[in-house]
Amino acid sequence: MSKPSPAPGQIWIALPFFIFGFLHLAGGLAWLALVPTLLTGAFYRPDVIAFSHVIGLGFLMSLVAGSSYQLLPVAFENPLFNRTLAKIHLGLHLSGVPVMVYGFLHWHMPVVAVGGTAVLIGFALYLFNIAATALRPFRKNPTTLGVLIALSALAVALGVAVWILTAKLGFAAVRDPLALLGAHTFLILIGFFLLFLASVSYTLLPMFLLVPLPSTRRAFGSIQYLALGIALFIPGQLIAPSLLPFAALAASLGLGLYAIENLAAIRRSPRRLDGALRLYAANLGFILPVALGLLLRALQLAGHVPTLTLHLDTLLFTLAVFGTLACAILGMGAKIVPFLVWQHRYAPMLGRALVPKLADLVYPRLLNLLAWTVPAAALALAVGVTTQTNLTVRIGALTFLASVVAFQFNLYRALTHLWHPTAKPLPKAELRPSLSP
Amino acid sequence: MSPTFISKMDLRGLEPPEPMTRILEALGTTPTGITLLARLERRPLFLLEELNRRGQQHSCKPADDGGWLLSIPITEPVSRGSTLQ
Repeated sequence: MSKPSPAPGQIWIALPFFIFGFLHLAGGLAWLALVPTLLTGAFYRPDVIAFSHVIGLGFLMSLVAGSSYQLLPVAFENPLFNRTLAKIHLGLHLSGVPVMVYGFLHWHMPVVAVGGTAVLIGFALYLFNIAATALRPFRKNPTTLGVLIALSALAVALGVAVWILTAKLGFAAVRDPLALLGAHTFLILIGFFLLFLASVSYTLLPMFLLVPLPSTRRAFGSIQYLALGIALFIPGQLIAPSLLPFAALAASLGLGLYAIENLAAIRRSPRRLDGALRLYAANLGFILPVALGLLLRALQLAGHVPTLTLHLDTLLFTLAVFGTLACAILGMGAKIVPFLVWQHRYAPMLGRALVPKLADLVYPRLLNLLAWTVPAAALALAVGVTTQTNLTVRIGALTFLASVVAFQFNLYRALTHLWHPTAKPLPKAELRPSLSP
Repeated sequence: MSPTFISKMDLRGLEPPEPMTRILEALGTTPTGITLLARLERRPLFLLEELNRRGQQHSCKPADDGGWLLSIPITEPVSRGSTLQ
């Protein structure tokens, strides 16, 4: 029996990024369950910095990079500019991140520099490749504009990271390293990840919900407010704290408009949300706490309100990463990975064989369950951080870990189709007729 | 000059990968001599890749009133079911 060769596609670029990212999430959660002080203790510690890079670089950035190479060409309606650059990025990312994490854990900056250089070169290739894809030709829509601004924020965040690292190695001077670390974290979390999420949602959500974008103006508004927040934040964090409340207000308005636009699309949709979309939609429940946390943090830093808790930064990190971003990314991942497998394995057989439907590649009930357990676990982590209770953080981490393992089991079921396709031959009688005599 | 027969498909409002599925399935059943004309909401990058891989002639252009117009002339017979035999 001869099989058609699989479609080339981006599967061997996107899939390794996804697997690498999900393994880092599971590893990070297991580590958190063992050492809950990663979220309840002081945050300027080697193991906390290493942990934040396991989650930020290992999990979030890997998933975003994999999704970018797979989905952004669809959103931009332009083919990926260069696949070879994407493969080089993959190699640099997969080799650089573990080295960086090891370096942070042992607080050995030369090792961080080695891993960081690989990751940085990979990011540079990523930025160039995605920007070039968006610009040939540039189609003005909220997704393309937002992604380009998010890429700019990532570039600035990387510049700040290089500044911090060179200072640690003794090649540069830094007046306030904690302010610089705060700038790096804000630019990555709000400027890149959350802006990226909002931007791609304006293409993906209507596509999956079968509705047009409810309000292009509101979508553009959310991008512009978030961009304004980022622009005000950098001078606010480094030289003029009085700007921080305005930065936080702009970013919060942007996040609010993003949530309203997504909810409007969900309300208009004629279809019932499946498990993956419910998991995605759970991210919207964390937007209000994130926005309020941003405002409170900015008011504290500007000296307008007394410092209520020293752990507001950690709480914001928890809400944004484990609440908003993890729910959104896992939800979209539950859509994207089975599609990658289906497209790679079965698209070449379409019209030539009976192929399974995309929905048959996963267990939908498991996704329905995860749509409850993942946000519940994120909430437990946030409560644990707020109350400084290690047991609550541990329970949240274990619940989250169990959910991620179940999620990976579902993805494994989809991946088995790569080596065990279940297509059946078509009946022979239906050969294509011809109009010619 | 032989007349051009056209088979039209409006695939807007379908969740991916349904548009790709319908077009590739139609390739196997549409008689030669007919041109498949499909209206799509987005540029079907994965489908275009698959059509190129199959060596299937096609053209995809932006439609005047939004979306994309994909045209596939069916010129030679394809034996269905052959790939799994």
